Amino acid sequence: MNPISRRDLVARFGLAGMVCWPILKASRANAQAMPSRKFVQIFKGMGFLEPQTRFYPGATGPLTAQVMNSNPLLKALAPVANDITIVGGLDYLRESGNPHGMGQSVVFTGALASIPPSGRAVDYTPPKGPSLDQVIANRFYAQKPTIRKSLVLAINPNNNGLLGRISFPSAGQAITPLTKPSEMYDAVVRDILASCGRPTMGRPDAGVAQNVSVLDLSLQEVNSAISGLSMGAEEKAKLEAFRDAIREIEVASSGIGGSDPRGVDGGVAPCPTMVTAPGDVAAFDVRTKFALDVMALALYWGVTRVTSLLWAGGQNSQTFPFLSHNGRPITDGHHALTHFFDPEVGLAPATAKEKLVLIDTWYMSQVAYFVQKCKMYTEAQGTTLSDNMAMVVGSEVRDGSTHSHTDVPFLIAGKAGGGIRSGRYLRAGSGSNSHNNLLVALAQAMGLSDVTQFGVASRNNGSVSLL
Amino acid sequence: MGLGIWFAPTHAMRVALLRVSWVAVCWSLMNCDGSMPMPGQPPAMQGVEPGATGGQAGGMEQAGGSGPSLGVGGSQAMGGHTGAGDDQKQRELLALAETIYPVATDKAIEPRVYRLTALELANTLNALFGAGSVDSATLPKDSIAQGFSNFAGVLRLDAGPLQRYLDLVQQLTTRAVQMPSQFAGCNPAEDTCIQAFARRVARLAWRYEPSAAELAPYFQKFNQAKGSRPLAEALAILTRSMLASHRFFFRVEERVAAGSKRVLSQLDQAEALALTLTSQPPDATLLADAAAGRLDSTKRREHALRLLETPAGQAKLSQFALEWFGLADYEFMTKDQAKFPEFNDALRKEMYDEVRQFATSVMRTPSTSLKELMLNRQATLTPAVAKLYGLPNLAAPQSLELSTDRRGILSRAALLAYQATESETVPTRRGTFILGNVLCIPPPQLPRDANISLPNTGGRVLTKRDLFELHVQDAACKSCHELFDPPGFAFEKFDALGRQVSTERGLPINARVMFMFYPYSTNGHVVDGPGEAIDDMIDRPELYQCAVRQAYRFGMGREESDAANSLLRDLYRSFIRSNGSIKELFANLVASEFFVERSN
Repeated sequence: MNPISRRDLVARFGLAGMVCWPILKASRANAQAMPSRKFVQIFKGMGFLEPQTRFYPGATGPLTAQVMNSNPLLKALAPVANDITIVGGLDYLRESGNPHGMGQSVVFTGALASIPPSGRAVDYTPPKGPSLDQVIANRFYAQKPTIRKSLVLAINPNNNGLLGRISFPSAGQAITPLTKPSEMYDAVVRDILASCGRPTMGRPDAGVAQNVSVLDLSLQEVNSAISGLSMGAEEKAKLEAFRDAIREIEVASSGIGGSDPRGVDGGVAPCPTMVTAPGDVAAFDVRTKFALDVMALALYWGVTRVTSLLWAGGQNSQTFPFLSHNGRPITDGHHALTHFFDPEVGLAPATAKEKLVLIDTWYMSQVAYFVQKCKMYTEAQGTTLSDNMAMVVGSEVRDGSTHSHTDVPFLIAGKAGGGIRSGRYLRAGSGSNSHNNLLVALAQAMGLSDVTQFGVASRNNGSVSLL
Repeated sequence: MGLGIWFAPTHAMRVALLRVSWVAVCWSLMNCDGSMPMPGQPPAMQGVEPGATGGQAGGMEQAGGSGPSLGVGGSQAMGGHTGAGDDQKQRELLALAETIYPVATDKAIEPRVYRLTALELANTLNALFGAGSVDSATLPKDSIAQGFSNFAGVLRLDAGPLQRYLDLVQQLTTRAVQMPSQFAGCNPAEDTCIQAFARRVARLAWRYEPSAAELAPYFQKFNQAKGSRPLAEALAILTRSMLASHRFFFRVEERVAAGSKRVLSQLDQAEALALTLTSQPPDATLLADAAAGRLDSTKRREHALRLLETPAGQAKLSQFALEWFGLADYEFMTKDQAKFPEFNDALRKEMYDEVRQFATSVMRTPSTSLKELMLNRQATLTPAVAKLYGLPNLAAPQSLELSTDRRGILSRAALLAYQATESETVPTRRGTFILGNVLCIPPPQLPRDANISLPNTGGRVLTKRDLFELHVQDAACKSCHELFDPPGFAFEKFDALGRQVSTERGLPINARVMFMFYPYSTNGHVVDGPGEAIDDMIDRPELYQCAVRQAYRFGMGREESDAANSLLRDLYRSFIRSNGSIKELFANLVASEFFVERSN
């Protein structure tokens, strides 16, 4: 494609074109610079059915073709075998309470939630510590702002309590995810298409460009409020988060941020082929594909360097009618299926297990799709987006049928710019089996070498080497 | 004891404390050993007549019998339940106030920064741009804590949602300034008009009267814009700037110096009161009293009673009822399409509309009575919801009275379906919901290494109750399940879609159970089915104290702490004396000093 001139962009898109041009031009320039690292955090609810026999390879070591042919889940991942790392043998910090809520709290934070007086599972407050994506996002953003500090998405949050959240900026706080394709489109796709001179769907006046002229006063005033008012730290943090949100939008709007160096053939990235978003109530698989496309696009175009996706929350009732079991769509809810041992589920355990394998396999096929997509995006110095990212897929339990918090599988994808040696199956040693160790290893793989502990201090009891 | 259970650090201790509390209550209330009350017994217990509960040691009795349970059977037309009007019954309930809220510390709550909810922001925008301009359901979903959508601790505004709000305001202003004079209410080319307009926007969106100095930068921005752009655009920029301010999104209460106490300013009081009771900015009447410095406890109460009779106030009380009864996240409910082919998005919405309509209709009655909410059988049903209620031949929406097993909010299809999985009922889920949410008796947490497998039935066909009763033959499971399964068993006569059923897997459903979970009143009642189960909860201190706790959480947007106990105790007493008027409960909450005092 031809590079886009600022004049063309402004002529076609007015103010929006003008303000987006510098960001996106810079994003697609400077092919010689070192590619930056990116981080992806994905939550897959309900664990894996019997992972010891149905997911994990038989032995640690390289993910050979033979290994990847050994079960349906690995088969689904076979196209990206060299780009993934499977980590087993890790345990979660545990406490009494709903195992789904507790697991969802710790999976990316290494910290538990507190149980409120009502004692209800879905009412757990957010965990007592930040999640890995937000820690990394804060660091990346401080190094160099991007249009969005992080892109937090969910397909089926299942509820708006803890079980519907996986990104936590600080103790007791959760980020509300974007859940609708239209929101994701507005957040990422619209401006990229505009910068390419492509038509966009929906309202022509949405997007960062509109905020240029109205946020300056807001920023001044909230800064005055923060410095001038006397408030407790937790309360002040809410205004500080608002201030950061304004800054984030303002930076993106004014075009002084962005600029993640990337690109091919002289620094020009191909324009996305995606032009529309599916409906907000489209099927789960359709919305999944769109969200994954948006995430890859956002990382590639430098909209953000950190993104998270809650696929379906812990203890979710997601159905999978687009999957077929013996010629019939799977209309059972995921959580209910994992309770196949309960006669009340009304399914023979063998039948439920067959369905669960189909579901887990579908999830893995989507991971493979995403990684393949990232491999197609070429970045500086002959690398791909996949080479420069680390993606972690985790769940709130090992296996929904046992609610176990031990030997929880983690799937990692990408090479983190050399921070991860992929294509292997690892198992944590008996002295290093706290999953907090993996969170530390991932932070370090992202270049946060000073992060030597994550979450509850006592859980940092060893190390996991991704190299 | 009750609060001690909540804060016990371990599962084992919580279970133990719960048991000890029952023993203590049993001892004091039931005269289990036939002796005189124990020395040192909490004074509140002494208000209960031994004769009311005597002779029950180790035995059972039918619901509605003697004892502190003041069961009211049957159903009457809306407004027909007169509440705990009997003096003796009231005395019994009142006597327990100090037992339920044992700590009376004199400490105000700490100040806070409160981000307005999506509903509150939508209402504000509708006040500015015209009714129906914004549907709060389309706004970014706020995080929920404790089942409530307005918990200040988890409400924040990150870049993604903020961008959505800015985009929305962009759209609204673009449309509004197409007729600038109409939008401004005067000729915006005149300075006096712009000043009046900005003050009006501030009163609505910032919820107070700003100083000239606060507005000056906005006028400057308007004038700058006016110099280079059309007047309408300048007006839009002025409006957008004001709606991008933290003053629009947040209520900010300043910190108080250590050891001191501060009363919120009159305007802050007006703002807090209006948002709490209507989810809207304060109206002119309230603002006038605030501006004149007239808001005191009496005035706040007057305004509260006035506002709670407006549609916005009634909607807010209805929202309280729906969130208390666990429906804040109802939108996510799904059902197995193979098992429930009739379930779809339209039915999900109709089910919700039915329960919302019911709750709102209760909140429109003069009494706004808790008993109405728990017992009333009136319903307005669409044909599809009517089918769930066993009325297959309804041709059009109709108001009618439901069967005697369908009493109040607990028996509505939406709630019953939401407290089931997508395919099945789970007695434990409904049971823990009733204990934790409806009665505020925190159910014990699942031990971290609990075996959740149900027993192998060897191919025998069993009801879920049979299955769970096999499960609790394991002593480790029994101690908890015997508490929270029985209320679930009582509701097994409703399936996972909320339909009434009498058999399960071809076997008759046995919904006869004994309730053993009341920490403050008589245990050992036998009830048969959901109707009797609900009757058994009525007039119990557990239900009233839970209504008070939940109203506090919803009204204050935070958890209660020991510091709130003296307020909770007062609210409990006044709630009992008002025959369980939910409107009075909220009016007394905002009238309290606690509502407006802040300390460090």
